[in-house]
Amino acid sequence: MDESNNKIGTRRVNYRRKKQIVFFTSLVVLPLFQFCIFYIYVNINSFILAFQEYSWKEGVLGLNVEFARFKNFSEAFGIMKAGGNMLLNSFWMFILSTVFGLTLALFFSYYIYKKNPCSGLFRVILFMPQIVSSVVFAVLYNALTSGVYSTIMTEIKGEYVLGLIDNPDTQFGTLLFYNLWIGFGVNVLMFCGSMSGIDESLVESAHLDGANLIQEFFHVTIPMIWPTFVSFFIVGVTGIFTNQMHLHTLFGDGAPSNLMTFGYYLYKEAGHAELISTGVHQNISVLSALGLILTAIVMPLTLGLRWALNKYGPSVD
Amino acid sequence: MKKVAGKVLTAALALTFTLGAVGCDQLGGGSDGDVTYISVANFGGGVGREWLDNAIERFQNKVKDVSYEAGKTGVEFDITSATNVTYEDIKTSGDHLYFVQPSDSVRLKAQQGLFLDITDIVTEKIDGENVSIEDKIVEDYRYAFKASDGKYYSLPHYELYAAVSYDMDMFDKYGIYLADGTDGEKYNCSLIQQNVYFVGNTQAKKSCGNDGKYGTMDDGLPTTLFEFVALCDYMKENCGVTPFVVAGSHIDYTAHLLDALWAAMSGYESRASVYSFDGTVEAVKGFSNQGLFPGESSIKAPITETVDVTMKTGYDAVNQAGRYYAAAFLELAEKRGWVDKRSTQNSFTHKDAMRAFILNNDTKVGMHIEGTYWYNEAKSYDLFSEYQAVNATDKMKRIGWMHMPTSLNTPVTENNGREEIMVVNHTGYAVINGNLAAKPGQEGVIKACKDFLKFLYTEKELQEFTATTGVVKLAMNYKVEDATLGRLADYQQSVMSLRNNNRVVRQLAENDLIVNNKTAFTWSPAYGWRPKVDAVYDYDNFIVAYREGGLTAQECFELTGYTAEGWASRFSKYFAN
Repeated sequence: MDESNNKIGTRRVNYRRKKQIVFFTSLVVLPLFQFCIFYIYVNINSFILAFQEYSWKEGVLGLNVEFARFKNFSEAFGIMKAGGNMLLNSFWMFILSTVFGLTLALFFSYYIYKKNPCSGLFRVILFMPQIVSSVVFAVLYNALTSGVYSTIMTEIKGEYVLGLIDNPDTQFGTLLFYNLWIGFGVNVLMFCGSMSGIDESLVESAHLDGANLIQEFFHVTIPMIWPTFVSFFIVGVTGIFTNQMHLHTLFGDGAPSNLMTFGYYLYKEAGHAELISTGVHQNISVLSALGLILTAIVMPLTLGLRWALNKYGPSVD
Repeated sequence: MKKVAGKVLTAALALTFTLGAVGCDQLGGGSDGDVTYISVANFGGGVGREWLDNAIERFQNKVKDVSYEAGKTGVEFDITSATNVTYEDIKTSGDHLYFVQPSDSVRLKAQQGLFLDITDIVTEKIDGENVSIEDKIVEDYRYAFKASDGKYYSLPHYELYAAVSYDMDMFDKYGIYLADGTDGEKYNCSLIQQNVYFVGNTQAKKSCGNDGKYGTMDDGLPTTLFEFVALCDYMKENCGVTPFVVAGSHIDYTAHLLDALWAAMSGYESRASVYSFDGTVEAVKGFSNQGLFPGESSIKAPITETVDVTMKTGYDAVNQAGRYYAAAFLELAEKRGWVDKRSTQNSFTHKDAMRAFILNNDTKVGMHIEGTYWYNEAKSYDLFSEYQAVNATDKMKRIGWMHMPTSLNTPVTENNGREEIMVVNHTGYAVINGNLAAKPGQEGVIKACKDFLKFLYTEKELQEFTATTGVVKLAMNYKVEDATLGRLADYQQSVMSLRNNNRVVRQLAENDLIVNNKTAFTWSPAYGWRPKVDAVYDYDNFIVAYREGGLTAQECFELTGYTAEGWASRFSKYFAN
């Protein structure tokens, strides 16, 4: 009897396990498939392209493909050398929007988490950019900081005033503000979610020990949501050279050169790149080589920072 | 209950995931219905889609009883028409036919096998006509539609010209026309240190214009660069009219002014020598300390030399004086505030610029800088209807082609006219998706696509295309009939008239250097007028370089030209020693 009960039990467990595996597989197969195509295949292709050089074939269709050795990498290094300003802009944008933005988002999230006055209003204001289409938002922001601002200030001052986004002196700040505002909602949403998951008993215990709000923030809240913060920070680091900071949304192909980041440059050039250099835009092989170089810079930086943040950051213990 | 809800939610989520598959390749052609289905991707800017809708209707009527696929009769079209349509996704898109405005080399895409071989329909005689499509294409440019194997992979769609338009009503109101001789209102222009005579408030006769004839459309318009400077100065200082308006979001459109000026100032042989490497040019060899314009010493006069151009000295063609004069004029325009201030606003779109020019009821502007396609776009935006509504009139807004000067400082006299050439700086192409040949069972769809293309290039359809769009097919020899002209708006007629009476430079030539470096020799808003500071940075246009970079016309000219050494190092493989 026991033996047959065991067999029935085992069969039930196996059946349930199979169902779980089927369910898990059906959820994961499509994203896995997409990952294989849009990440693994694309990056392998990019790697191969970085070592190829194309040229015209005479008399027949098709292009000649040759092993380019490190010629494309040499040109890519030339781009990096010339793109000092882009490098600076990329890092500045990262520091200001990720570091500064994340920090502000933490404080705002804490304020909303504590259900302080107007926290509901802040929630709406900060989440609104996420609800409205980003393109629509960019068009509105563009109009406000360009024509509207210029028209109003010209009326007030009696002489022509450039828009905030048109004036080279204020462009950077205007762009930065846009990026901070657009990214805020997602950061606040995630941090609020993490904070709501903090065990109330921990918070009560801290209060009983005499901790005020500031102390609770630094000694309870931050350690508890540290993994979330690290995730956001690391995602920001990986995007240093790919984040175009909404330049294309705001300016199209005509972003001022003093604002350009590597992400914008790559996006713009990739849109015009051909297999054979046109002499006006970079060819695809050079851009692939550039992408590999930037990956080689960002990958150890990302892994190193992640290790450091996990090792030396505040822990739950 | 929870279990059931969980299962339903899971099923819904799974279904949502699979919705993405709907966007997969539909290049199976046809439909499940009883007609052959053709998917068309049409670039919605420029000439728009009205011509396509009308042509499709006529074609459908023609083939309504034709069976392209077993069990199916007639054809149906599904059109995607938008300004972001390109053929970049042709490998994986489900579209069969493309009418696009590429910003790169069509030949390169053809060389990669992305387009279908259409040699058969291009070379065979058109039904009811004694010629083929190939016969209608200008012989010198047939190569542009072929790949290296000598076969045809694309067809000419349209050619658009660099242009500046002027508000005829505004010019009439203030008499902003050059007077004949010394009649008219005397105006001392300090910039050129000359007295210039304008019609103004007088009844003076207008000057004869570039064609050297009185009573034609170019009367009263400048024939020299100095006259053009004086006209803009008079317009601004005397009449309170800002000479130029251009989109701030597309400040690169100022290239149309540069292109048009360069072409007109240089003449056909010089401008075409950039591609043909044949002819004589006035090449810039240096710069003097004197000002080009006597009253503006900061813009330097070039030192020029008349030289013969060969492929080895092709840099002289690029460095010709006409190109510098255009750059210098734009620098002067920027310095003197002749370009509407709204062009500094990123939010001032091309539609805003058109509206400002057409309505012209707050800030007065005299001329609009954009290619000849702008008129079609303005019609599609209902801006002319808006003008009529605002002004409570049923009269059309009077807009004319702004004739460009054809010399630095030698006016045209009666019966001694000078040619005012035009330059093509936007082109469209028609292609069939090459993937069709690779998929089995697509013969019917291929036949239908080819039949439609053949239909579009019949004489009747060419006339209809021009009548609807106001533009002509790229590099094709066909006369625009009077009946077709009669259906065009005044502005479009003026463009056609100029085209019929003057030569057109198309930025093409069948030599290896040009064929393999096409975009490096294209001057348009997208190319050519973008001074490169280094390997990474370039300015959107000369005017941006003036405004943001503090560069001069001389610097921009040099940055976008070639030295002898630079030319040799880049292109020496194309010419023998």
